[in-house]
Amino acid sequence: MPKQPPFRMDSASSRDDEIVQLIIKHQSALRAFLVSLMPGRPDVEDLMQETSMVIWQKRAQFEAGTDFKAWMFSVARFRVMAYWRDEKRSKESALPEKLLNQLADQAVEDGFEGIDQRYQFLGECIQALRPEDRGLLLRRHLAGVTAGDLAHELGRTNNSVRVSLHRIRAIVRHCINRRASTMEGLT
Amino acid sequence: MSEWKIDGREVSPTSLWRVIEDFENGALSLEGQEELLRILEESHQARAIYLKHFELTALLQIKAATQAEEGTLPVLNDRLLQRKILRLSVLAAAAVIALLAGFAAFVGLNSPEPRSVALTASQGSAWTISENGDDPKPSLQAVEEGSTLHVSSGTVVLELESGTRFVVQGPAKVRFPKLETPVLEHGWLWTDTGAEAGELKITTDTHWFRDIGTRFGVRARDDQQVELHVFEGMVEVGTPTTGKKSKVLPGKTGFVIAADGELVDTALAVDPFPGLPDLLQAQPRYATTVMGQAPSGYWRLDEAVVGNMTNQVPGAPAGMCATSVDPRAAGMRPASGFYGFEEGNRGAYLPGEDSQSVLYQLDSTAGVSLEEGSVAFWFRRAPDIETTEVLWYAGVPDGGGLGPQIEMHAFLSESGNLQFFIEDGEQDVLLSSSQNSTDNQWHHVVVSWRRAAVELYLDGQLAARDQSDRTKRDSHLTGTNIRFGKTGSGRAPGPGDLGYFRGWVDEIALWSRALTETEVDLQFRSARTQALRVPEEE
Repeated sequence: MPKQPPFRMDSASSRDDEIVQLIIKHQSALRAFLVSLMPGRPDVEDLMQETSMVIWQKRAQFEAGTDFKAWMFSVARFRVMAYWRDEKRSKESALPEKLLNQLADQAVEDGFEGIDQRYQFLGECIQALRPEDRGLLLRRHLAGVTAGDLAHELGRTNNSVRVSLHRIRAIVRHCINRRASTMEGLT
Repeated sequence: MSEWKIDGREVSPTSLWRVIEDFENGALSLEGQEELLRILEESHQARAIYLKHFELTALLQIKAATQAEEGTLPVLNDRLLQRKILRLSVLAAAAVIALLAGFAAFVGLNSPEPRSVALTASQGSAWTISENGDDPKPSLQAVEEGSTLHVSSGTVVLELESGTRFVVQGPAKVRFPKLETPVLEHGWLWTDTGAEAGELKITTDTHWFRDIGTRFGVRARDDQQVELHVFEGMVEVGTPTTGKKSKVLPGKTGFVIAADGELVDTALAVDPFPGLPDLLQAQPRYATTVMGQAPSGYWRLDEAVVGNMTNQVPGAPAGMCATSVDPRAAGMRPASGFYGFEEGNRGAYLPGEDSQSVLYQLDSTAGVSLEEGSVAFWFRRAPDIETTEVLWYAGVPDGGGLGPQIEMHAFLSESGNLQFFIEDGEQDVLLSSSQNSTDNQWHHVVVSWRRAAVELYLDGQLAARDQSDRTKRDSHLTGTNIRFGKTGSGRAPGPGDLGYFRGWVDEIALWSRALTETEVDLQFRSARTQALRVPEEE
């Protein structure tokens, strides 16, 4: 009689593993999707977790071989709409529902393809920045830190910090684009 | 290209990035927000920009959180701290002289941020940037208005938001009072203007050059002469001292511009833009360092076959490999400590037995000038040398070595010492290294010559220098008699002539300018190190 493995690998646990892997794989794209639909809002982390939780709860509905990312985005879209419909929520910086749907559709269509590659380029491009620029840009993107916070910390005006951030961000954006173009040229 | 209006002003796709960023930061007026949302609803292109913007935000959030967890998030540095201290000082002064300090603070706090442009460079390049009179800092990645870029070696590229590109080929020094009006102090500055470019003007000590939708290069030479090379469009040249203006179109020659504004033909330089993408993505290797130094010819010999040697410089002529040469011999390789080369790097073996033991037509588009230039190569020779042997030769067809004809050559003496000889018809210079180089090891050789000095480098070190002023007229050598392994094509080596070279050669490169000590050092180090590191910021 063949020896039994120490634990049983049935089809359900294998499928669960696959779902977990897919959730992890598409975290960057999910964040980009949510940040786009909730511009400047600090609640993106909550929505990330909620979306992942819903996907886990509904994992049985996911058909293997279909587009997991599109399904994840559709779940996230409904969470965002629910977020904005909350009567108690401040509607400042809210996107009109029509635009929200347009952006969501376009994001699903584009799928943030190549985002992981661009994350790698981002690391290289940030490393090439001057240390003070690198520090300013990254600190701005820590959860809960605003340009106003940095302006206060540095004794500068909000406008001056925003101009600096725009300049640094443009450098990084161009750097990533250049590397991506180079990569395209190689393939 | 689409244009939109937000808050009453035209918004191009380029400006839209800024508007979206303001929107994200809550810094857009209510009317501006409404305009932006309307544009986004109406334009697929605007939504694409919007999504790209927030993708970068998301990636930055991930990066920031990761570095914060790792404890590697950079602190806001001393420079910013110094600014803060300065502002605090201003505020302290305000308590004493309230009105004056208040005004100063108002001016200080409302001064616009200097514009800047990102910088990229070929691997193995070395440069410094001094900002507003500060000490030069090496390897910064952006040039601000008001700063000075000093490239000691390699190729540095700046790309403005308008799409205009500047290429600075070291050694060069360029000031940027404004990004669109650079001042070239010395060296090469090239520009290729983009479709959206506004006015662009390059200034030197003696002239200015106004771009009219062009691709062109300006060289400010050490002898105070200025050269202009136009490849596309039209350039207007002005000479302030005489008021003379000329318009220059692309042609088969470049121009030296005299002090009075007159244009004199000179050989057209190599346009750096076609090879730029390959150069910027190239790995940190010896070849990348050489190409970054803008040679006029470069024969790596990796793809050499009898009858042809590829020239790495775009548009430059191929070299020729004669029938006795083995073009598949091993070159420098990582296993021997030459980490700047590939495992399969190939060179050539010259048996030195007959007139077919030669690599020839090692020429550039502009030929080789006796007035100024450089050559670099690697060679390996067994210790059994008995007579003089010629390495690189440029001269007249009947030159046999050591004059009296017009010729120059690097060669090995009977005792195996590396030497260089240059004869321009009136004066000659002979340089000699003090060590025997026939030890069966690869050696790096660079010779550079200009009117004020002739220099011989061996393995990255200056071996000999002559600084007697060579004032002879210029003379250009071209074609088949720029060669390796044998003297002039019209003469078989006889008694008193330099003999055939018997040994290995690799990586022959030619420049129409004198290389500097820094450039030679970087070449040698990039051959011996796995990834050449230029000095980091202190």
